[in-house]
Amino acid sequence: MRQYRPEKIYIERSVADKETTLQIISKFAGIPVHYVDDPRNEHGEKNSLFIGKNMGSFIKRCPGARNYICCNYYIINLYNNCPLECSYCILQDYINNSFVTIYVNVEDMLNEVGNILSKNKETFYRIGTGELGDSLALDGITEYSRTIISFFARQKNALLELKTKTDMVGNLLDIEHNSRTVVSWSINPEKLIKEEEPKTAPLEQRLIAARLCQRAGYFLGIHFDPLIVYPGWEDDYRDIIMRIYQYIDPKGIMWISLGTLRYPPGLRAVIRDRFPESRIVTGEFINGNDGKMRYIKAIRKDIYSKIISYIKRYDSDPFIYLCMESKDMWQRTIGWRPEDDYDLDVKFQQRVRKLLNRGR
Amino acid sequence: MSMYIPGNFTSAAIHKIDTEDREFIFAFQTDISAIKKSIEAVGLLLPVLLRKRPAEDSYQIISGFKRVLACIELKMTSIDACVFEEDEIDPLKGFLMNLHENISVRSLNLVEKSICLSKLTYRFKVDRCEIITGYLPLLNIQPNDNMLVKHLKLIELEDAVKKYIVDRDIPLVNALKFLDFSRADRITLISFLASLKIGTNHLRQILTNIEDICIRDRITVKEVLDNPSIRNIMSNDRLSGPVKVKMIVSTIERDRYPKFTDIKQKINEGLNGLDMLHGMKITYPPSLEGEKWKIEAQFKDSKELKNIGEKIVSIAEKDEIKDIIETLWET
Repeated sequence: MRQYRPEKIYIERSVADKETTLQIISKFAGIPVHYVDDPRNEHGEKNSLFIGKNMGSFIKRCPGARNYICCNYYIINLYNNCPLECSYCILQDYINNSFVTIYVNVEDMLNEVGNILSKNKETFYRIGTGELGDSLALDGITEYSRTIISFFARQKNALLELKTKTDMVGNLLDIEHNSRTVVSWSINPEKLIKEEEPKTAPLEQRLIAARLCQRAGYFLGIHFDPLIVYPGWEDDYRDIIMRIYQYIDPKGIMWISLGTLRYPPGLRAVIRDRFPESRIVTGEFINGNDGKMRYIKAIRKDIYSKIISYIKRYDSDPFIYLCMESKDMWQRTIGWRPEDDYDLDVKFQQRVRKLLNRGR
Repeated sequence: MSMYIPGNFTSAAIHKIDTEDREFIFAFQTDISAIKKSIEAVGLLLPVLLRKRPAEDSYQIISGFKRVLACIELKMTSIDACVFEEDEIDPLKGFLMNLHENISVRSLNLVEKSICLSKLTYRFKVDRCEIITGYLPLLNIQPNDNMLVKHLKLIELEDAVKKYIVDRDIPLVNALKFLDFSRADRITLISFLASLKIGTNHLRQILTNIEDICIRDRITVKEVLDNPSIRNIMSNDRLSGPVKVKMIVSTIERDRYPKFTDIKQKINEGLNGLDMLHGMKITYPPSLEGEKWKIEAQFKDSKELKNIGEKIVSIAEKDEIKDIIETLWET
């Protein structure tokens, strides 16, 4: 896949001389750079890159979805917005600009996370960076993964998850991670990658990257999210699951999440406008209990049940969870129901301990 | 600023008035039958405003377009007018005179508002901020850029669509939906919709669902409407207008949401077979999504309440209710 390259760069003056800033702009020779007092005041044309300082908190609880079970996950945001521009991306609805922001005060983030972890030693944290942007899409430019993975390798009560749709794992392969980082891929059939995720890595490249990470000792995560229905979806998903297990040893998969396509109602118009050829909003959606559009329950159950059955052909002991689903959906597809978010969190911890104890 | 506008009251020769020149005009739909009757009955009460075009030896209409057309149809040869020299009135001023004369006596329709905003934006090059803060409120439109953009888009619609919007008093949100279709699809839609009297919500539902079907199946509106069920409904003269609309809405919805409607239908059929008491009602979770069903019943005394309780118990013990509840999960 092609490396991200902006058309214009805006840099917040207060971070202009930082080593990280200089390192980032050194990768973009020939691109005009503008220095500004506060990038947030700039409108920024499409395909602009902002480099600045995150003044707020880096770590947040995953917002999840009200009235559905969530997994008590934490997120840290070193990026704001994503260059991959998938058609269904929810960021189109709630980030009101089209430019990508890189925060360069990584040390502040590490201090913040470090403080939280040391103050709450009894709590085990699962923390991901892929909420407001792909974890690795900009890693070739920032090389943040090296710093963060090394940091988490020293933590006892946390596990980092890097979620990606790319194959950009070059920075990950030669560093000591101490199994405290899970590298995860969001996977969809090739047809959907071409039509809805055209700037991401093709399936084959993602799987090769996953295999490289597994060989480097990382546990892996697989996210079938968003699962999208279209004519022939069953065959395509069955096929990609078969291919996943041709590349990856199931023993090294920490978790597998399933989540069907869901979106805030306002995203429909954005998708229609930006991706007129996309058919994804023409599924049988209803307004769910969290106010987001989602497939009707019967369709969701059908998808989850089939995907789980395909996975179990290759993996006898998968840890599969549903993202933002109801208790009754859990019961009917996974076979048990978490009582609440905390209950699910406990199951995650058990899974993590089991795999960490077993070793890679 | 002086409120006095010069001008010369005179009787202007009608043949010199250029009715093709619409620089100041934004009227859409020129139904002049009422004004013709009025002129026939009591004569022209209000002079029209004209601007001289010496180079062409003609007049431009500033205001009174319909009155001029009516007088032409009535074979009048001259018309009372206030005539301005060309250099007395710049084009924007002429347009604003017409605009203010109209909005002081009537509301502009959606298409006329769109024409006005289009002229201000593209023809008279008025500053966008001035349009938003000054002219949108004047036209009873919320003053923001989004609303300006939406109104400007309507200009792209074909006259037949604009006519439908004006005749049916279609609100902006629905009018904009027509822009989601191709030109050919819009024309097909208008000829389909013309014979139906459809409320705002139903129209939005129909347009949204047809659009989705077209995208999903990569077909045209014509192909969507070629559905035999729709054709049968449309050609059935025994159906009343509202029934026809309701049936059309549900037929298109069934096409758009086949599984959803199928599940609802199965549940309703099952519930109808439960032999419930009069006034008793079981409702499935909204959008088939939640876990909880609802039961409603009415009673006037303890005896009726007891009957209801016994009936609920008997329904709860039936296999049928279990099957009905299970239907929520079946594709």
